[in-house]
Amino acid sequence: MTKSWRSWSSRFGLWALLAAFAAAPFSAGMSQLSAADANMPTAAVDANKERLARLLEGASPTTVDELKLMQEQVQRLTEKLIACTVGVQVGNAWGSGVIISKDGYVLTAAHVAGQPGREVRFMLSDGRVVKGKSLGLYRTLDAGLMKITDDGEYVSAEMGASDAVREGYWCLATGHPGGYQDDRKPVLRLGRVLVMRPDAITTDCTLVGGDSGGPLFDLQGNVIGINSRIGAKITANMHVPVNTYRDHWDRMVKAEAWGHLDGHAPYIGLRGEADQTLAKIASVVPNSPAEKAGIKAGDVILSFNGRQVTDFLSFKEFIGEHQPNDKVTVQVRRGEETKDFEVKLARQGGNGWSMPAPDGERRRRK
Amino acid sequence: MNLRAMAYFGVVWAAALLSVSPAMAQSRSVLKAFGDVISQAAQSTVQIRINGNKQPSALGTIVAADGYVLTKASEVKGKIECQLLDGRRFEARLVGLDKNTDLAVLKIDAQDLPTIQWREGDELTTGAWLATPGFDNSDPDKIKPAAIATGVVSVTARKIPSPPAAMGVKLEERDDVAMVKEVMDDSPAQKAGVLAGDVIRKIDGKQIATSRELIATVSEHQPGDKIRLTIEREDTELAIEVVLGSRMQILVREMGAHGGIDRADFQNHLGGELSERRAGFPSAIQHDTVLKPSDCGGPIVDLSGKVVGINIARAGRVESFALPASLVQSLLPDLMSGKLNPNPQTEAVAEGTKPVVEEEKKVQ
Repeated sequence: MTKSWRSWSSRFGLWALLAAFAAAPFSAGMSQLSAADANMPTAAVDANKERLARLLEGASPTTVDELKLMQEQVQRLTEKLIACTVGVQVGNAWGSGVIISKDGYVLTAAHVAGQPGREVRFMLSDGRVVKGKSLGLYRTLDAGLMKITDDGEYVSAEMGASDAVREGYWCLATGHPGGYQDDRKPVLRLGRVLVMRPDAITTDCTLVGGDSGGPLFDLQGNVIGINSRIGAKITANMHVPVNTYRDHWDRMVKAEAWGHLDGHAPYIGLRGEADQTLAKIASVVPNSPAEKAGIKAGDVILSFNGRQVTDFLSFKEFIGEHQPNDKVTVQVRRGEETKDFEVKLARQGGNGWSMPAPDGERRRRK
Repeated sequence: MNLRAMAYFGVVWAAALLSVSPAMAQSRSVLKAFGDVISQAAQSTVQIRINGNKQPSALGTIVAADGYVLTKASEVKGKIECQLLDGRRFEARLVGLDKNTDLAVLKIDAQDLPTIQWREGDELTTGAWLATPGFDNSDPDKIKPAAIATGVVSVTARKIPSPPAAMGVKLEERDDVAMVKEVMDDSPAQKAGVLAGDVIRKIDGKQIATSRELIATVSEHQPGDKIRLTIEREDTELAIEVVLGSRMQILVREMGAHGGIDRADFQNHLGGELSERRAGFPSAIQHDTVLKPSDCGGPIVDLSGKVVGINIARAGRVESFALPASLVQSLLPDLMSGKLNPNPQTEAVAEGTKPVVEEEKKVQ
């Protein structure tokens, strides 16, 4: 469980494969193409390969033949992509996930898992139900890891490299929109990458509640992202870049949880004085948790939950380890007095990026 | 649920996305590539306007050269006009209606029309590419065929069950009469003018003796169906029409809940309007084409241009439904011969016919 990403991946030969992917992104798909075009002269097959490679990299198809080439590529992949997509149930919440190793590691969204160490039921695409648990969560980017604990060998997808993805690339999303339904396989959607940023991929693969945690694939069938959240527009569908999981693999496998979902950072409502070597409070935000507790401008923070506070930065870091609604104790010096205040942290809001996502449904549709 | 934050979120992205729209899967250049795919089926597509409206309410599909047009029944209530790709306009009359599939057949007075080519043989598989033919009306003097939108098969054909319907009243606990105890806020019953104390005597002409009968009758219906109540209020008898809603939505509203169900409904409406009738189909292909409700009723084709089904509903943010070609073909003879007769009492109207009520105990 505590294996590093590197040793884990080399066990499956994945690291090598990813390196190859970066160097020659379309080699895998191309070798499959030659089987389909067995009757064609070599020159024509090569031309098709080149054409398809261009299209998958984001060129727009202009002829029916090119559309058919892309359709073939999608249909070659579909069965496997659906087979490795799972429904995820944590408590009453439903979401999706994707199996990325034969022994059952599952990528999902942090807001689907909620907490590390929770019991999870996985609904496999063939209808089987297996058990497992949630592992690490990097909440700020909405990345979550889970592991199927029932023994077995599971159909898995490979993790691609999201830093190789460019705007315009075609992609496929799967998941269980509206929650898992036992008369319906994972639901496939096709789109393109509209905005590529290190912290989020935006596509026009439409998503809705229940899709969270499901995979975004490139047209080679590699996972490049995990479904996370939506905006009002039909083209605002956001995914966690898959490199997030690779970059933080060790912590995630160790079931660490850190960061905060958008709009879920803890908030106390204090501003510190600049250039101070002590944590002196410059101002208290009206109606904030700090004001309600009785903290005042001019107070000097001595400790936070019993831990010594040396400056305002260390105070901020301590708060960052908490969640909204946590109760914390802040000790301050006011004049000659030392006072303890109990503060109930609130939620940071109003930054405009605070929709943590359409999450798993709280119901199961028939 | 933080609706405001979500809406704002969308606004922020709207600006960011404008600059990259050429990359979208639905960009103009991609749709153009589908021009050859839809060109034949577009010849057999019509646009349908209701009561002289400028905007089309639905598309239709020419299924016989002598003027038979298939469409989505619940979108064509009123005086119907069909316009062909060549610009000609015809008044249409309703000759067949199947509530089960929400299909209607219209008849126009025209001959030698191009009919669609159905896809024969192997079943569509998940991931197959699809295109929806329609009209480009940008130049009213020269309507052009166009791929309205494209998509892939998301899920192969399956039954789409109907969610339970309701009108949003609580009934008195009596077994001798169906009397309204309370009308729920913002419910279909309230909008229609049903009042507490009303006694519901009939639904669509059928006698209702008890609460139980009322509930049973309503539950035969789907959300979106219109039912006619015969109500006894003090000493007068009233007729009130109610368009049924989804029981779940009515209950959620009543509870003032902002939990998962409400949010799911909200999210499904993000990104565009949905068809009023969007569930309860015996079999439908789910695809990811982003349609408007008024894009339904027309054909949807594969990359060979063959018709694989009839678009029947925009059902959610991620889903549209098409009735499979085989199902539609099996119904056509009865729809065209008048065997599936539209209710002769209602005038050329395609709509449902029953009421809705909940038992009080289910509405805690």
